[in-house]
Amino acid sequence: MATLCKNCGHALVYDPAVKKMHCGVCGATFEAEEVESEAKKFRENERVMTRGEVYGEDEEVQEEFLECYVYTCGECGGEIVIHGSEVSTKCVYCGNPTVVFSRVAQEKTPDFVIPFAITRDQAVDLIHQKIAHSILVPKEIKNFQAEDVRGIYLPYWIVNANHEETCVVRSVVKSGKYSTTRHWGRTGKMVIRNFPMDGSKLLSNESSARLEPFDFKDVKIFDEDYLLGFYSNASDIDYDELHSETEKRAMEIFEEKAMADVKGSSKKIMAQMHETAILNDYSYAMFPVWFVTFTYEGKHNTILVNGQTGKVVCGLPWRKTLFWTFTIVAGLLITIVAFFLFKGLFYGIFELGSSRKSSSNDSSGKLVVAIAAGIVALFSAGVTKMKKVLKQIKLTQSSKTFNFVKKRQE
Amino acid sequence: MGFINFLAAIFGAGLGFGLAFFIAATILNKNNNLGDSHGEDYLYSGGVSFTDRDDKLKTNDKQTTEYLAMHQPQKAAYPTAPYGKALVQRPKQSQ
Repeated sequence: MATLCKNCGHALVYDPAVKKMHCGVCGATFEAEEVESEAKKFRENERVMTRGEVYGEDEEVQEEFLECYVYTCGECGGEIVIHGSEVSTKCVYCGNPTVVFSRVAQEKTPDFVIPFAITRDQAVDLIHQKIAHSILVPKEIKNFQAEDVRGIYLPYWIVNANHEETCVVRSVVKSGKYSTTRHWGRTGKMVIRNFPMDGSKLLSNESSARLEPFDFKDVKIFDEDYLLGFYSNASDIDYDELHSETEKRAMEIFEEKAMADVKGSSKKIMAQMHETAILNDYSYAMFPVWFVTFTYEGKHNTILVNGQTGKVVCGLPWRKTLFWTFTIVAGLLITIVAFFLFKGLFYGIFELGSSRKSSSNDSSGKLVVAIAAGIVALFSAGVTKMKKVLKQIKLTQSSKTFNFVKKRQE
Repeated sequence: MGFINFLAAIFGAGLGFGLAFFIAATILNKNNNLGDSHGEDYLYSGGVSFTDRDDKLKTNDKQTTEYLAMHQPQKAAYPTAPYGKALVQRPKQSQ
């Protein structure tokens, strides 16, 4: 059932451009909190039917409608099949953005919501702006036509926690000519407040962490009218997953601080023990994300845009020919210059150095080893960066995310 | 002289292609890996308060194990979020 305009009776949607409920027919706008409708009461009492109740329990039907629920559109009476943890959508027959399902009432209403502040067009423009001057992004992607653009509220658990940890850090400390490996013990605690933990299995935790930060100054007390015109999902993670992800993020913060607290370089956590206690006052919130999909070279890509701040998150395919051409040409040029530099250096070390005393030979040998180590470090740093990009491209091309967006009704 | 030329060629090629690859990978990471950051620590934490520092641990397993055992964090003695495979729900007092 729709939330209807008080003036003309047409369905209202939430418009991020004006941050109000908007009637597409008469143009009237209302604050979400001031819209009181029969729809809200209706939703609380609406009965959801399981797949079995509607289609029976035979195996073929079960396969086709796995984990589906069936609702009736309050506007046109059409039957709407909803997958998994979806909370709001649009009616496939009449297009009404009405259908904020009884799931919101039944499965515990969220405490808070950050409404969309970025419109659909702004989200697509932001992506185009971000990649317009990127030389390694293929032209076809720069001029991509979005296939689907879906505004989806994702569930987050806002967690407060106490984290205690003890760890041993290893580092290499230089003292004059010599370097020594040292071990440092660090024990401490920290209080974590308003930590947003992704409550959906849809997105990888890495992608959802990259959508941060969300600005809590725009948080509103949850009102389901904010969901109108958008899609939304209920949380589908279990307690163990919530604990494990919170622990992981808390350890990252603690260990970064512990490593910063010791001297030296090449720091590494050798061993640790920790306890992370999530306080029993966590709350449930919905945060806005735009999902923009396009196809490139037969592969589906989904770019995420933070619906509040406009932060764009994705890994894009690259111009491989240009990348490798640059690497080879630049490599050859630097090699020629480096050859003459090294030739002069090694001549100094091996030809002239042979007449000097042995301590000088020692330091020359160390210099050669240091140069070799530097070269290995350069390659290794390059490979690390490449791996990071390839991992993000894989996440952007995840068929799980693409199908999640694709199956949403227009 | 031949050995010096050989060594200079090896090191030159290593530095040349290593540096070129590093530059190309850095440009690729900047261009094609968008949104490579997450919420800063200070948004969620007031900072770490260290309760013990040992700057003279010996480089052996025994000392490491002893240090960890001596400072092992204790389980919380106050109510925390439950564990288990049940779906997370709002805690009762906030509903």
